[in-house]
Amino acid sequence: MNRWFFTLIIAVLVLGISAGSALIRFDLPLSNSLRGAFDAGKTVTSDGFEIKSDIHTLGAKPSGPYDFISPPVRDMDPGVAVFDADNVQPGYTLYTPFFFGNTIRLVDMFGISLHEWSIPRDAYIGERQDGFDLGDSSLPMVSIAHVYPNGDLLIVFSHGREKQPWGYGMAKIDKDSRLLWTYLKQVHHGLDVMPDGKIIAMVHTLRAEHRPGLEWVTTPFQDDFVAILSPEGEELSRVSVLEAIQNSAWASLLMYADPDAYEGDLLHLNSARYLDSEQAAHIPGAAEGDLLISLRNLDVVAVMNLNESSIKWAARGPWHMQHDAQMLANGNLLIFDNRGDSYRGGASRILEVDPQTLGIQWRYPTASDDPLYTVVCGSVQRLANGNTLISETNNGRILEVTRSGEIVWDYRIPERYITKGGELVSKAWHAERIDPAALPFLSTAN
Amino acid sequence: MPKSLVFITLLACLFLSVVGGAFVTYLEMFPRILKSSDSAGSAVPQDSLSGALSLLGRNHPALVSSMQKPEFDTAEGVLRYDETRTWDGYTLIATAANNSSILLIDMDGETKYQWPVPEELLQSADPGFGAGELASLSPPTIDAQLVDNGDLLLAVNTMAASTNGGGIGRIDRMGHLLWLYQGPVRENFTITQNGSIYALLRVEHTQPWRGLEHIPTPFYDDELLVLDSSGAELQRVSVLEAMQNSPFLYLLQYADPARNGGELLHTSSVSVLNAQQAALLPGAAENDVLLSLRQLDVIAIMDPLTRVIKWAARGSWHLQSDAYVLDNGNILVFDSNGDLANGGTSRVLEIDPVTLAITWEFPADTGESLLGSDSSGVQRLPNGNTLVADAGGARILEVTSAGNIVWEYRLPQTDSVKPGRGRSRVASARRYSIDAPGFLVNSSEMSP
Repeated sequence: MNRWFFTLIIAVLVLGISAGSALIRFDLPLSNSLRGAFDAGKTVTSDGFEIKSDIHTLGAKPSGPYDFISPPVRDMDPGVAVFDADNVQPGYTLYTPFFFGNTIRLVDMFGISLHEWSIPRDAYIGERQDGFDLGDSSLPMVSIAHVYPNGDLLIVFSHGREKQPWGYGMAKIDKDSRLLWTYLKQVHHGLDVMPDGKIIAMVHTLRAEHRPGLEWVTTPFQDDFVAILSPEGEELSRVSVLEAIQNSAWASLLMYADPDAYEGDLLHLNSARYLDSEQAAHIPGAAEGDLLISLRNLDVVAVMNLNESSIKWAARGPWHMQHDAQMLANGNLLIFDNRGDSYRGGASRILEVDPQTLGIQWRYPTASDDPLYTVVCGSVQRLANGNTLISETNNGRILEVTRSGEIVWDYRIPERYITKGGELVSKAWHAERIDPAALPFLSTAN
Repeated sequence: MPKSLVFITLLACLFLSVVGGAFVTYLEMFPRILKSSDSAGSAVPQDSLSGALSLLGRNHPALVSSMQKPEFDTAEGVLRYDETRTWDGYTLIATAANNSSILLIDMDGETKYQWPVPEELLQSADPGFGAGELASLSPPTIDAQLVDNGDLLLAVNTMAASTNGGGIGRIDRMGHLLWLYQGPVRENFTITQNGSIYALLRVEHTQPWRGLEHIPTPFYDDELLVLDSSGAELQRVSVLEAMQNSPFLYLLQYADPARNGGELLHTSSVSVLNAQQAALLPGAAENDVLLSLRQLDVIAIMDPLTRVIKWAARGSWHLQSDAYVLDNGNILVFDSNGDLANGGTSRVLEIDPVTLAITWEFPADTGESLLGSDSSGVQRLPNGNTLVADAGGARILEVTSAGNIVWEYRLPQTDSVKPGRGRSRVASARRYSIDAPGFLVNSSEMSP
């Protein structure tokens, strides 16, 4: 009996191993569940660069609502981790913690709050100008804020739900967070204030009907508009970006549009900035008053003329899903390139690009182990001393780097929350370094 | 021992061994059993018309309208020739037509020699190919290079009409086939100093790729194919595997095989780096290969020995067909659809690989236009001029660095192309020096 039993066990083992091997080799039923289990084991034991493993599974997947989930806290301690006082551009930093939307903070170099604003309730209730209905509204989240010398604040806020389009509105509040005016159309992302005080806003809406010449695009789809507001928040004009592209010699830009894009988001306009005459001189065909726009879903940066409703210049380059494109005084473009860093597995980087040749003149980071990655958003600002302020949105981190790539200020925002998934950090959507001399309200108020 | 215990023990053993067996196989601890989908010859026939359309890339109207054939025009032969500024020589032209042949013409457009393409190279597993409407819609594309004594190396790509067929082979000047490597090759190839041949093979995969299960099957990978000078296979390297072995795998986020007939990468050109070129490229070494991954808008450097992608760049070009490194370290690219200011038409770019700056561009603002496709190509000539094979325009241009066209040749009308459909396309063109085809001097024969 014992010998038989032993032989039987050996036979079963041999059979079983062969069967298991065949399962995987020939992709028989059950093989995927087994692979899944093995992969799960591997993930737990691997100690790789977190960003890389994330990107390796991205493949050809389009972006979607999962992009908005905050990652676990990467840098453990909130607060200022690096402060090299000799090499920073001194000043105050205004930032917008996206998941703590009711508070916008102005901090000093030590991370200490100097002033805070919150969205007054009357900024987001009441009748909307575009009829867009959100039902019972959740608390809107502020994506960008612009502060005036007297402490007035322009804010752009989103409804923060998984519903497209996600823009909610724009408002101006005073230094004590009292509402001055609202513009309740679906404004999103950033804003710019022109030299004469007029405001550039970006508005997106759904189009249910096919557009002539774009019959291949599945309806409904989103169109992006640039709206010009008076300093008092009245809409003065509005231009469709889609129409401007179609009206121009650059209509072929639309060959990069995905007709089945996530919820019809063909272009994904995410920045629009005023070009002064000096800046415009560096871009072929551009003139003062044109706007530099970023179209994320086409990987395109372009110059748009509002009066003619047309595109004057466009470039698609080595960046991917970029944000916050702007012109520097030296004639280069500064771009937050979210997913284009070919040296670091498609992580984020900051690019300074010559618009004439599209050559990369400067980039950060250059070291492969410097973490910088945010799937969505991200902001960048060139400072007076040549340093660059970067908001790594998804990781709630704001850093200042020198021309040679050294981090001289590294601030991890304290807005965090505990969930079942662990400690999560709020997004730092946008950050701006401001000269204290431009904020006289601080001294008069206190 | 109670029977139930025996039964449970056996069951436990069976379960453990099945999982254990699966695990070691998963980890590839056993010698690898070749899967049927690993071989290149197992491609299943696919709908040929959709295959042909996939060569156009994404089928958006914006793109397709920019690729319309040029208006019918009777002008043909040499249309421009500025003798003082050309780099004179012979031009070897492969046409894309049903009765394909390879021409060697002089600067006056006179045919000095002509080779037929052997039937064996055109043969396909698809019995329908070679006749009828479909074949004339999608003729094979061919790259030809002069070897010596009037011998030619040919790579014939018949994939527009069929997933099978085609191959790479050597013919003598009488058109006799000396050797043939049969398989679905891309038309572009390179001959190295020692005579080995670097070509590209399209390989179908019907099973999910390990670690990339989200790629819908079946899909096509490309493999670098290295042959010795007698056509014997020396090496095959999967480009997808090399991507997987590198940090550049993320570039697959630009792939869209579902919309492109299963084409994941569409590797459209290969060239081998010499020591001088490698020294000028970031991280590259001698004998690395420069690949154009057309579907991804990516140009990459692969080390065939370690099977790793070492460098990759995506820039302002779109669906580029040809890319190779110049001796100054820059990369010359035939950008098939990236000229955004001109309706997404074609242009030739010279790119600094470090900054990705465009250091030279044609047609830029010369008012000319190129209607390229995946078989278009470029060649930098010794005097700095650039030879451009404009496939869609059925013409070959020699352009100076200032952007002046100093030589223009348009393919003559052939019988095989139906009236109104334009000319046969230029599938490839290469300029050889006056001395290179020495066989012409010793030979009184013309076309066999």
